[in-house]
Amino acid sequence: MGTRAQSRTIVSDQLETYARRGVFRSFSQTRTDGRQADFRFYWLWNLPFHLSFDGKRKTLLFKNLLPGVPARSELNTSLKSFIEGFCSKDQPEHRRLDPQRISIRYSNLRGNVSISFLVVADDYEYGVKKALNLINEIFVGFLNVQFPEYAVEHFHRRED
Amino acid sequence: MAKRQAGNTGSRRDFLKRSMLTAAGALGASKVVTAATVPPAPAIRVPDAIPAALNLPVKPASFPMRGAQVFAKVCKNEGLQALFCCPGNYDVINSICDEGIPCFGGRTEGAMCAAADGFIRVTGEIAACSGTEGPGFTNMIMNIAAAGAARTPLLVLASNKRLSEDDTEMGIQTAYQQPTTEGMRKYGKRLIDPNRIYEYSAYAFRQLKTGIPRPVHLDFPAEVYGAKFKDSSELRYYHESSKYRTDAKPYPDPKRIRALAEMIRTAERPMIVASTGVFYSRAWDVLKQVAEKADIAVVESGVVRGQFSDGHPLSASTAPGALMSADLVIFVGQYSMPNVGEYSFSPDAKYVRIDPDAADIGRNMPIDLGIVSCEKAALESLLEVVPSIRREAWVAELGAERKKFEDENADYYKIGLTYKDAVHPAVIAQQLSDFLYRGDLAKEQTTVVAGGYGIARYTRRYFRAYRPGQICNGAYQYGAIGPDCGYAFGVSAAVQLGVGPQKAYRGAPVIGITGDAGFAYSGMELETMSKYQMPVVMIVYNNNAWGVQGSGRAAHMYLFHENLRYDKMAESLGARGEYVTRPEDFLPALKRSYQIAANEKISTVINCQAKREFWQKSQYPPGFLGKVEPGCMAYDH
Repeated sequence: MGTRAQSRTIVSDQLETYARRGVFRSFSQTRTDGRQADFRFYWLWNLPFHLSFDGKRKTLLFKNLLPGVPARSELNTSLKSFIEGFCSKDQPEHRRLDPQRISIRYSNLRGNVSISFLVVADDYEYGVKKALNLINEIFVGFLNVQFPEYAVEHFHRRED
Repeated sequence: MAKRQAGNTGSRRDFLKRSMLTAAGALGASKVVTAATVPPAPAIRVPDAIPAALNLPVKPASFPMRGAQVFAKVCKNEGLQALFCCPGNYDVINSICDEGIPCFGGRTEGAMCAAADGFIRVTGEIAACSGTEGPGFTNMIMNIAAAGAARTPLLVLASNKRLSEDDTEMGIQTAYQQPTTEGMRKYGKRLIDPNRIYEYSAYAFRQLKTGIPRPVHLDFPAEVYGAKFKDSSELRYYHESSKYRTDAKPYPDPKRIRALAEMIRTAERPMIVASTGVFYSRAWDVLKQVAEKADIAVVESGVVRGQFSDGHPLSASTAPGALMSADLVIFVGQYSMPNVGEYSFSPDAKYVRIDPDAADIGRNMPIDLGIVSCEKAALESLLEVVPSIRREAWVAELGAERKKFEDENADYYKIGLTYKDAVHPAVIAQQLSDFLYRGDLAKEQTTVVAGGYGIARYTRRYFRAYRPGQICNGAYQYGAIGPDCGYAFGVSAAVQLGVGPQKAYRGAPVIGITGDAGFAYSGMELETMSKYQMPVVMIVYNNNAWGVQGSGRAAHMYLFHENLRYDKMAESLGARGEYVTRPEDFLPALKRSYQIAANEKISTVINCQAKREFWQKSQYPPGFLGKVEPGCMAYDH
């Protein structure tokens, strides 16, 4: 809760916690102004991640998170469905994303998938935590399981 | 140093001379076939010389002894459970055999090395492999590396030419062995001082029996294995084992155990990853007690499965969907650590690692608490202080996720049955699973070698482990697909001998899974299985190709002949063959093969004719499957 600068601080502090715990490596805040901040870090499968926070729009954005996903592909359809599933009541409460507190926006621009999270009720701790958990689920629980060949092709996962 | 003993010295020349005499005797006893007509092919049979040799009494050595006998005596005293070898290193293997240690001679040193590895993985006991100095030793390399990655306490033995011939290339088989195994082993030594052979034998077992296990490699120049010792006074450092190693284990810091108990108390969904170290420290009983006391889920990883029964309500090994829910993850004996993102846990989970090696704690995965301890000792200490807690919601979630996983497997099976012109991997996996765990057999009975590559993405999902040592995780970490028949032979030897946790299932058949690519590396060991009457049912998933497929101009490099008859190959090696080309024929073939294995001790290859297109999801859903680790699908870590 609070001003946009405060919200940026909360997001930054929250992300730094993951870095201090060793979940992220090479964590850095690469751009900061009153409203916005960019963060870079190495995380899943030792890949670089880029997260932008926009305090004015209250969004956390993973831009171009997944390259090479044709809009009409099975991967694109399945991924959207997988993400939507996290708002479903079929999910255990501790894994569910509460639409009253966070809203997910999925975009695919020329095959590059971006995912942004709108923090609805100014609960940025919740927003960061849920955003990271969903990205984790996408890589480890979705791509690795349902589309291993995509992970091989685009993220240099081991083929054999 | 004394001279070599006269008579049976175990040299190559002696070996060949004795073999020729034996062969000549056998020929003399056979009927003479006239050349008037083309004679029928003589029957494949086990020569009388084999059971005759196996029935000879043991001949434990006593002083005066040669170096090889001194070493063999240490092996016997240290409880070496088996030797798997090919001829070569004669003095050493003959001496080990004379001590009464079960010995098996196979067709390639590489497969015999894998056999020893498989034997160890399902028993927790130490076994050895051996080969001759140059080619025999280097044939073992892939499987020494696989054993190294699997953290197997494997004793690798090889002869080496005379020290006096170093750097001369005199004769044949010059090889410097120790540099070759560097990076694959825990300890290695070329023995160069005959008088220190006892000391270095002790070195080997001290390394094998303490800390994090890995292979130990000794090579024996002729001056060492052939040296003669009148009595123990001619051996330096001659002590009994309590003087050269200790059975003491590292015990945990009580403060850290209390801290862990507090973390368990405050967690909502704690989970133990029970890995290789739980098996080697034989901590399965106390693991179950700890889990039950505080309703902690348990998921398995590592080279062997069954430390925690898949049938237990707290098991998460077949509940991959539950892993992300864990808020506290306790790695116990996880020697091959995953990196962030390789295991399916939440970024918010806290991590605890219990490991005997402080230097490894914190590698790859960040920790919130590290505990240096023997796995069993840590769990015993934890049992004393962990609070009794019931977590009904967590147990219910585990059950729901197990059901979801089983439903998914059942869906794959239904799809697989619709493909009529070849045998889909889901059909093999589901029907095999039903036969082993939901039919007439006790579900704990059959030990399985889970090998192969693509086929393993299916079968691992359907195999279950209900007791320690029930599943040998074939391609674990190193990813070698070739050793599967070797593993199966060693696992079968363990079950036939009833070693370690296999004791209650002594004599039962063993099931092995492999692919057509992998079968090529060790399929000749069907002859060894037949020779020793090992009851193995080896299922070969034959999709006419390597697991990875090429395209365009390179495609030919990834393909084999279609419809190759590995079953015929088995028949020609003294085993049985079954060729299955339709889904409905698999189960009858499996039942026949298992029954014959159980009753007649005959191995079978079931050649399951599949097609490489089964890996194409668009053409044949569900295609090549991904996997979730840890749990039943895990083999990277």
